[in-house]
Amino acid sequence: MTIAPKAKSEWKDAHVHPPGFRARRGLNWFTVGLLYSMYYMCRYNFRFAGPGMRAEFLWDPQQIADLAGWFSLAYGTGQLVNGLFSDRIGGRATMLIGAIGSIIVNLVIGFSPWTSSFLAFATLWMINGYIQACGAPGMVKTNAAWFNREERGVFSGIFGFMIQSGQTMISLLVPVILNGFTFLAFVVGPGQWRMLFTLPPIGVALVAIAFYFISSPSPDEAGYEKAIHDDVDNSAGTTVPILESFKFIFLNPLVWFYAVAYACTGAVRHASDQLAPLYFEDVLGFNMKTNLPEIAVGTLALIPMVAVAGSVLSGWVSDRFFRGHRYPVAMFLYYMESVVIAVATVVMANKFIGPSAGGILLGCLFLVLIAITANSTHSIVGAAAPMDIGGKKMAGFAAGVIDSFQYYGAAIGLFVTGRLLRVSDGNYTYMFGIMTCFAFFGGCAMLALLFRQQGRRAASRAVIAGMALLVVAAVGLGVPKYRAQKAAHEIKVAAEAAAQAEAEATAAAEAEAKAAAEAALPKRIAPAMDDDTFEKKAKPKAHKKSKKSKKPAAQAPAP
Amino acid sequence: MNNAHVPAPVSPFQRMLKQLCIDVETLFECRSTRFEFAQDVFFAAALFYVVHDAQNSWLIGKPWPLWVLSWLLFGWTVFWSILHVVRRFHDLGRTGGMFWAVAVPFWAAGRMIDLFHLAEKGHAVWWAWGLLLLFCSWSIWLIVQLFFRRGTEGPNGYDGRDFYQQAEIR
Repeated sequence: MTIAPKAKSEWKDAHVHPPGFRARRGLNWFTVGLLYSMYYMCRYNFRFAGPGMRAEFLWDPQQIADLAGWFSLAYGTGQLVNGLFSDRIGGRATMLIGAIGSIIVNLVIGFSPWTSSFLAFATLWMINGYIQACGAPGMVKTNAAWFNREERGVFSGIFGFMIQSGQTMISLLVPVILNGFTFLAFVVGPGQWRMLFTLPPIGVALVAIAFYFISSPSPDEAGYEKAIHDDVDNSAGTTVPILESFKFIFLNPLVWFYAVAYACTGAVRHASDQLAPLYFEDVLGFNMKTNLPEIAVGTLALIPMVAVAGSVLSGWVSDRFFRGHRYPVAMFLYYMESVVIAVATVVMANKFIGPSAGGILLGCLFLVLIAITANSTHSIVGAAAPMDIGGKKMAGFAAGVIDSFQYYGAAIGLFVTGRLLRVSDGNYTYMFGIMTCFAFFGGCAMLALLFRQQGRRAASRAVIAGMALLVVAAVGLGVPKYRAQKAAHEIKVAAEAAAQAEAEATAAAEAEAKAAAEAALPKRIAPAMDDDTFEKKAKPKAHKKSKKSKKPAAQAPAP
Repeated sequence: MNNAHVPAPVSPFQRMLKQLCIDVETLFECRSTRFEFAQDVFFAAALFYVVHDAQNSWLIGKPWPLWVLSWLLFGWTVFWSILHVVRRFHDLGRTGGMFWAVAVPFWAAGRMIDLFHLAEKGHAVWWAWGLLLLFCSWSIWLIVQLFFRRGTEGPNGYDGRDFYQQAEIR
């Protein structure tokens, strides 16, 4: 027997499950994943509502980016807290609580009259962010109990599929809602962005009901005892006291390496996801408010497909060729991602991306390539690694800690990107530049972990020191430059405002002069008077005047 | 930490789901010969075509229960085809999971055709059609094998639970 069939045979022997287990696991996985993907329907609706809200409430891109950033902060904090609670109450209960909460908040946003206030909307959106954070820890915790370590990579790839299917569903639903439709007696007009917050919760509610009946927190409770061996804690049950989970995860160094890397994934993934509609409008010149162009819809639908392919492949590779170790694969992916985005930055800086045929194609292509690399790391670092670290009993908090950093990273990335876009008058080269730095930083975090796991502590520390130096250099060089650009931008904006005020004053003066001239003309006597009567009433005066003026002329001696 | 494994209570509904899953899994476990496979796939394809045709002509304006029935028939043909693809792969000594290697590239290619309106552009985008063909080449090769390659001799590990139970009894 050659090595490959032998390895295949060993793999097969190690993964023999009792009759019906694979089908039952598939069913469980399907309901859990479907509910998680429906969560995305109540979260990604915001990015499509953004252009409509910007038009209606006159919010600028920075405010939209800030909203996305605050959502990320709330979501990240929610991951930490809810992850810990999910270890106590179980993944299934956590997911159900999150679904119900998200439905309520979305409906409040959709029907409430306060959404026009930026502060009110931001508050509601942050609450939604916190509640949505029940999804990921709940899902990871439930699935940790259903999979062996060497099966989790492919699972995480399909976890990526569930996420992306949620995004695809909302991407396909949005054009229908925004273009307007009629269903029986229910009529939705075009451009009604509020409907993006009222219709998706119906789907979430239906799936939550199915989830309640079908899902099971562990194989034991579905009638499959000892079907899965947990490397961390193989005793019965899936819950532990909060303090035990907190201590075990918080003191585990692996968690922090993955958390830092995942923060970088978040910064890249969210910048490309959340700002894509604005990028389409500002750089590629599309109308994203009502009639979405086909290539924009196509790109937004293509991104999830390629992302799934990337995440399944990376998960499978880490399972098969690295025995369930995620960091070597993740490191390769981060460095590849940084190269792709660096190329995009150069192309963007040279103005090859723009509202021309080639420019649009390039712009969309880079978004797709970024999605492949970013989502591949998203699956193995965000789903597989926490399960490996925490096992079925503490995967919730492990996922919470790691995933929370994704959103803190996203918040930092979005805040910085939003401000740079503002001071640079929408120069998206900065967006790609920032994303390159984050991707490279993620690769360095995984490299440090690789050295650490190989026992090369000094090399690991050197990489960490290098990363710290990078941060200091970025802040030290970037902040003064940002301040200078901000000052220049403010001067420019002030000059533009002054010019506009002057133009308005001139226009007002002209309008006033015109009004005065019109006032000097004879007025109509009654509003109901027709033009002929007006002419008759007005002309005799003119005749009288001309007669009066003619008299002196008649008296004057002939030349 | 306590490593004692105490059995967890299982609800009657969960027991029912377990039995259902065992039945479904057993259904997929056997092997199909080339002839059986071809016969079943052509039957499913014919039924698929008839239902599709009916939906586009005869069923228009008919009551909704007939539509529901047509969609159920549609679903059944899909399930029937998947079942026999999996069994045929088992006959070739390969895992039924290879079904995804056949289905996913074709599904993705279909999505590409829709997204970029390739059908309307026709020959003008010949290079795109070429790329799609290349993309689906392995799936096409697998389909050719399903129809024409002989199954493995003797037991190959995919013969189904009944086969091994019978063997143990003997």
